[in-house]
Amino acid sequence: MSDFSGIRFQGKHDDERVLAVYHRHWFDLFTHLFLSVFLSILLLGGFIIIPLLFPGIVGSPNAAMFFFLENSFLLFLWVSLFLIWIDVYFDVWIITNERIVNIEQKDLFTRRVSELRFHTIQDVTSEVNGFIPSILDYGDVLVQTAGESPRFIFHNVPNPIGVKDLIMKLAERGRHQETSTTAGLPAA
Amino acid sequence: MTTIIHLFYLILLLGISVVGVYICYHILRYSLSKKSAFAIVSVFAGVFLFLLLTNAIIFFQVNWGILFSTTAEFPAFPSVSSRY
Repeated sequence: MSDFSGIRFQGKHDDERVLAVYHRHWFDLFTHLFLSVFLSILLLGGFIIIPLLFPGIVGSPNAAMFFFLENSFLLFLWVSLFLIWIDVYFDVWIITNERIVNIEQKDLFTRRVSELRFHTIQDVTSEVNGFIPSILDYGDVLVQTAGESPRFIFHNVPNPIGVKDLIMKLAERGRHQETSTTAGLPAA
Repeated sequence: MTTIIHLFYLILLLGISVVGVYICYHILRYSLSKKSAFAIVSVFAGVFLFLLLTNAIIFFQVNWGILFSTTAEFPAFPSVSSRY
């Protein structure tokens, strides 16, 4: 069992205990980063191959221009890698003993935080679509709530069946606690 | 011409610096674990500052005057007087 005692997020209650934290699966991050990784391989290849193909470039007055372009490319690549990483990694689903918190990072300037109480959960579905998600065991978990509120979706999280089971268990406990509270009985 | 290039470069440098600072702020502000946030920011900022500094040094070593010279001669096209 992982230790989530060091986890802090906005709106966390003092007595709230974090049970699980889910980010997107690493392969999902990799697919987003693929182009940048490919470009960085191209860049590293360029560093080695271009001076070999054109030996005159290193000693010529244009050498500074060559290194300036390479350096600029590397700088933009470094920044874009982190922008993509922020966009993917900062999509996070936190399951606490009270609720589910979904923090969705749309882009660098757009961030959406929503939460869901366990007693409102009606149905939980896990979905694994495709060859690679089946092998690597990642997929979506869809949480249907009562009323007109939209579905809560955990996008491309690892072990979706385990996540579904955990939510189902907590939802059952939440419903039981809610019934006990409304009936004036002490919670289990 | 060189002044215009320098001006454009300074604007670009300022823009990318702002993006870099915002990335650091974002990681520190919204990371779930402060300890890992500091580690990630130090890696990002270290490499970013190194690249930014070397970029600026290399930029001022480039002879932009020669690269964008409008009085360059093209020996492949001989002048009319030398043909006759």
